[in-house]
Amino acid sequence: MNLLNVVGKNLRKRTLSTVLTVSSIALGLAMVVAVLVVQQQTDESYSQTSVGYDLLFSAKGSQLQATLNTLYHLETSVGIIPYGVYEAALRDPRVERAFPFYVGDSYSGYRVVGTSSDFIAHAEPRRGQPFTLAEGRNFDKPLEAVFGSEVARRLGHRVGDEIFITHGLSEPAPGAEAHVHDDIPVVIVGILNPSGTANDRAIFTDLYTTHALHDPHLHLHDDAHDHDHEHDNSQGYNSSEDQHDHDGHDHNHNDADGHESHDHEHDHQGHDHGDDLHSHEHTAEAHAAPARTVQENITLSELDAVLVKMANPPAAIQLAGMINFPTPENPLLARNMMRDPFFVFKEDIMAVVPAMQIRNLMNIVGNAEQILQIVAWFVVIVALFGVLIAIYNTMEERKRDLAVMRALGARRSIVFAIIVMESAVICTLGAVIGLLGGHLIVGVAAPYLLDVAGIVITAFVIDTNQAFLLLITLTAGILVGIIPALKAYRTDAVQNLGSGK
Amino acid sequence: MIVFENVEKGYINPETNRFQSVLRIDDYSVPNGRHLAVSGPSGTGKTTLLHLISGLLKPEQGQITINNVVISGLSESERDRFRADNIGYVFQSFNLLDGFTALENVKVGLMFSGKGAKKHQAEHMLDRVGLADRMHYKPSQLSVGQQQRVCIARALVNNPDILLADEPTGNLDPATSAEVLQLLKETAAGKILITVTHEQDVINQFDHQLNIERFTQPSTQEAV
Repeated sequence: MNLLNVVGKNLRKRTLSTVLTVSSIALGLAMVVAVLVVQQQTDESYSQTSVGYDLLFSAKGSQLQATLNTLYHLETSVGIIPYGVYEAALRDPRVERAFPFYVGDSYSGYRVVGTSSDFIAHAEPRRGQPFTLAEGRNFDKPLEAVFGSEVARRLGHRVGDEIFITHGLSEPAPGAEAHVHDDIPVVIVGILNPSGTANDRAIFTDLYTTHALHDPHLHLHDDAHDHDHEHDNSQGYNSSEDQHDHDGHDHNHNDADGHESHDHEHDHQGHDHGDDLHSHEHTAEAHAAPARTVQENITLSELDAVLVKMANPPAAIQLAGMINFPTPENPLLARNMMRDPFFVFKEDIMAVVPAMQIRNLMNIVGNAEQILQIVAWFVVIVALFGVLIAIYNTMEERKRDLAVMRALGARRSIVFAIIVMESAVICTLGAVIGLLGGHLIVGVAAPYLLDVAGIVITAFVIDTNQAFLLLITLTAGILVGIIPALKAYRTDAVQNLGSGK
Repeated sequence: MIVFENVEKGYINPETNRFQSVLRIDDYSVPNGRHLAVSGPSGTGKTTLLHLISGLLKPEQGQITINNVVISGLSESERDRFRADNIGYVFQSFNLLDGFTALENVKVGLMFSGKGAKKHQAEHMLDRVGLADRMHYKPSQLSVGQQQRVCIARALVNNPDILLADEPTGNLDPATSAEVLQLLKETAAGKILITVTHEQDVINQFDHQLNIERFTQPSTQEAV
C-alpha cells in the first residue's frame, strides 16, 4: 500500500464523479489536440506544397483559386491558357522546370490531371522530396496513368488495371448520367508512394490523354481491337446497367451491387485478359496502337496552368510583375518588356506566386484556428474548475478518513499530497485519454479533410507540443488540487475522529 | 514508560475568551507493560488524555515523556512520525476507511511508519485477530465485532509499544464486547494498553484503573 494506491482507492470510491471529471478534461484536451494536429499539418501541407514552385501561370481570375486548383486539386479551373505558354516556359533559360496542367476530368470522384511525365519525374511535392513510385513506372505515352497513393488505396487499383475516365470533376448528381469516356481505356502503369500532399488523391496522365478525352471526334476502336472480355468490378468503374455495342467491341455491363460496377465481356484482339476483378493484363503492344492514334490525331492546344520553377527564384517576382502589371508608358521600358518571351501572352494569363497565396490563405484560416483553440482551451479550463469543485465538495465527507490517517501517523503534508495527487491523476488520465481521443477524432476526420481540403493528415503523430500539453494539464491538475488539499491540510484530526459510525 | 510532569491541557473559552484548564496532571506515570482502564464521566478529558499521549494534542504546559522521548517537545510532524512508529489507536467507531478492504485498512497502518514493517505483517495481524478468511471484505461486509477486530489489527500491525483504545467496546453487544476485550488484552500483552471506558464490566477486567476525575479541573467537573 502506498500513496498512489490510496489515491486510486479514493478515486474508485467515487467512480461516477471520477469518470465525469476525467471525461470533461479528456473532451477539452481532445479538442485542443485535434485542432493542434490539424492546424499544424494543414499549415505544413499547404506551405510545403507551395514552396516547391516559384510561379504559376493561369488564366486571369482569382489567384487563390488558380493556386488551389493547380496545387491542391480543389476548386475549378480559372480558365484556359494557350499551350504556347508552356512551350515558352520550356524554352526560357530563366526557367529551370515547367510543368503543364490540364484538368477537367475525373475518375470515381478523383481528379485526373493531364501533365508531362516530367512532373512525376522531377516535381517536388514537398521541398526536397520528389515523387517516388511504390509500384510500376512513370507514364511515357498517351492512355497511361499514374495513381496517387490514396486513390489507389481507396479504389483498390493496381498497376495494370484499366480505367475509363469521366468528363467533369465530380461524380454526377443522383439520376444524372456521367459522361464516361468508355471508348478511351487508360491503363494504370504506376502508383505513387504517399507524399502527404493533395497529389496523393489525384491521377496523373499524359496531356494527350486529357486532350483526347475532350475531343468528340476521336474514335480509338476502329484501329484498335475488339473488346469482348468479362470482368466484375465491385468498386470504382463508372458504368451503367446496360448493354451496348461500341464500334468494334461489345460490352456486356451488369451492375453487381447496384453502384458503379459492371461485368463486361471484352475480347481483345491480340492479347488475353485475366479474371482479375478489374485488372487486365494490358501489354505495351496492346496499348501502343491507340496511344499512337491519340498522339497522331490530337493537337495540344490549351492548358489550365503551367507551374514553373525558376533557375533563379527571385526572378519570379520580376516575371510576375511583367505579366500582371500594365505595360509601362515609358517607351524604353515598354520595349524592354516586349522582348520578354511571355509578353505575347500578357493579355491571356496571370502570374501567381503560390507561396504568397498560401501565406495569405493561412493568415485567414489561422484566425479561425485561433478561435477554435481558444474555445478548446476554454473547455479545458471549465473542466479544471469541474475537477476542483468535485474534489472540494468531497472534503466535508472525507474529514473522518483524513483524521484517521492523521491518527495513524500521517503528516499533514501527506494528507495534502494525497488530495493534490487525486487532482493530478484525474487531469493526467483526462489528458492521456484526450490526447488519444484527439488523434482518434483527427483519424476519423482525415478522409473528410482529404476530400474537402486536399490535405493528407496523419492522425497518430505525437510531437513535443503534445508532450507539453500533457505537462501543462498535469501542472494545472496539481494547481487545481491545492485548494481542496489546503482544506485537507487544515483538517483537525482530534475534532473529526469522533464522528463516523 | 509514560511520564506526565506538570501537564496542563485546556482551551480558550469562546464566551469568556479566557484560558480554561481541562486536565492537570502534576505527576503520573504508566510503566511499560501496564494495562490501564481510564474511566470517568463524559467530557472530563478521557479522550483528551489519549490524544495527549498520542501527540495529536500538545499540552499547554508541562511535559510528557514516552520511553525517554519528550513528545510534548517535538514538532507536529515529529509527533506524527513518533505516533506512526510507537502508538496504536483503537476507536469506538472503528474508523475504518470505507472503500478499502480489511487487508487494505490494516496496510494503511503500515504506510506512515518508519519501522519498515513488511506487508505480510498485515495478513499475519488479521490472522491473529481471527479474520484470515475475511481479509478481502470491505467494512460494510463485516459485522461490528469483525470491524473492531480489523481496527485492532491495524493498531497493532506496526508492533507499537503503546496501544490506546477509546471506548473499544462501546458499540458492541456484551458477548462481542467480552471477546474483543479479551483479544485486545491478549494482543497487547507486554505493551502499555490504555483503555478509556465508562463500562464497569470493562473496568473490572483491568488490574490498574484510573479515574480521570483525579486530574480534571474543578471548573470542568462543575460543567460536567
